[in-house]
Amino acid sequence: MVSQNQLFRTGPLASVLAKIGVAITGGGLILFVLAHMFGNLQVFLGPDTFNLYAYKMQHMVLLWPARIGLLAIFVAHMGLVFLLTRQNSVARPVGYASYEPIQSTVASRYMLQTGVVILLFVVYHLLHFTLHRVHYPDSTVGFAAQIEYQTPPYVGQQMHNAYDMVVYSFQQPVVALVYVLAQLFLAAHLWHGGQSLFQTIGMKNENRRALLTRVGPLLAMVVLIGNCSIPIAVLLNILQASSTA
Amino acid sequence: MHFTLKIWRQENADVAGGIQTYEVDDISGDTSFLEMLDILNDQLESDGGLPVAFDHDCREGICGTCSLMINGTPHGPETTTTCQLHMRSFQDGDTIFIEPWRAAAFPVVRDLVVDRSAFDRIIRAGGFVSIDTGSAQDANNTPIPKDDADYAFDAATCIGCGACVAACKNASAMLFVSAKVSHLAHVPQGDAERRGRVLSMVDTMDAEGFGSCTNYTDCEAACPKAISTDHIAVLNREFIRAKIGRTT
Ligand code: HEM
Ligand code: SF4
Ligand code: FES
Repeated sequence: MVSQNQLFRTGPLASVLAKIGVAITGGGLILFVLAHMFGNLQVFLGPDTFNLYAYKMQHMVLLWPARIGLLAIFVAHMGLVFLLTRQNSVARPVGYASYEPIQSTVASRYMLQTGVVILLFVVYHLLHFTLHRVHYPDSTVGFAAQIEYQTPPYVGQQMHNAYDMVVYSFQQPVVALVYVLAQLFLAAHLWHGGQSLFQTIGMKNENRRALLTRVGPLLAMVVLIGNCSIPIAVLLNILQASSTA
Repeated sequence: MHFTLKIWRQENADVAGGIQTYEVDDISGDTSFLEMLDILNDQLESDGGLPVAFDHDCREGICGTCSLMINGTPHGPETTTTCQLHMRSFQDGDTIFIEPWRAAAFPVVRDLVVDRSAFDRIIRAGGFVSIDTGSAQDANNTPIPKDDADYAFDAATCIGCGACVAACKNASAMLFVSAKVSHLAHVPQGDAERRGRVLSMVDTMDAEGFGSCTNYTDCEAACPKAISTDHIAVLNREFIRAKIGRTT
């Protein structure tokens, strides 16, 4: 009697396994995107709340482990995507003269393109708000301006005026536009990815399929509206700087 | 009806091919697509040309031998096989592109004929149940819940045509492989070997040069047997189960 292991051949990194990795890392990135969005929406609660949130994030004990973990997830997502994309392009060396997608969504067919735009945006976003390397606002306040905290129990505590940094940045229409456009690409990625991952990890079936397939578009709209509300609120003067330049 | 046909012609696997244009006239709407090609071939032969090679066998929609990418859709505009497609599905005067399935794993043999033996090798890697055949068992000896039997049957209706691969932007064979994995995962006979089956079939699928699954779902829309991508979710579950399950 041959054992199953002799009868069947198995290799190290099957496409299905790599894809499950994309789904799990993608799911992790979605959780981050949501946490990041809800954190930032505190900007609507006023400078003190927002600056304290930023201060606490900056001084979190696990700041570096969290950053490195997030980076690892991001890099793993891209690395696995690279392997799969290479496999897919080798799999169809000659294309069709005439090709009509039947029911796939545009979002699903442009995952790589939207992903690459997200990557470029993440680099820009880090240079902007984390490293303060781009778009010094036209004000004497500057990116690194400190502010004295007003509400107990932190009265008098000096902290970074992140609130004004955001407001002054988005008062420049070009900057606001770049952020809004980037959110459209992120939304497209989530439109497909936010439901496709359930299929990849085997959660869909006849009964759950319709419901789970709606999660992607829902997630995309929530993230699009949530994130874009900030630059738009600044442009509409709903959010105003707390200190005068 | 009159049609302008743009057909891929290629001598053999080693030479380059290209699209050639042909005209056919006086085609009745009740002519099947393959009969229309037969008429074209008669025309070509009487003009001293070489007939267009295309695959076909049963011509009744059950064997999966016919293929053809028709105007960018596998088996053409209806959810059926090319042999069951009729010219009434087109408009008089239409230009119709006819191309072979495109996949590294399905090399062109000649014109519109591709070699689909990669599918056979995937089945050989695990798409079976190894039991010694003896005399037939009594019917209903092995009780199977009706839902499972129906689900397994739906998956088992795959005729191995390859339209799923042709339709997929990644030339992925996941729908075909999942149909067999899901079929055997839903019947007790398949249970004993389910772990090795899914791993080995996926491995062979990759080794044959098919693409991976991005969940576009164009495959299920192209499938003449309406195999659902729900079976791909079953495959993914079987795969995860096999990976985290015991090894002996
Ligand atoms: C915030 C960042 C990101 C999030 C939340 C995210 C999320 C996801 C999710 C959930 C999936 C679906 C996985 C599945 O179908 O099972 C996915 C797939 C994909 N992602 Fe991302 N992703 C992000 C960044 C990126 C980046 C930077 C790239 C490329 C440079 C990228 C490229 C892709 C591609 C190509 C796929 C499709 C893979 C395939 O099915 O073949 N993603 N992503
Ligand atoms: S799954 Fe459908 S399209 Fe794919 S080979 Fe089977 S019958 Fe053909
Ligand atoms: S020739 Fe048999 S299915 Fe079309």
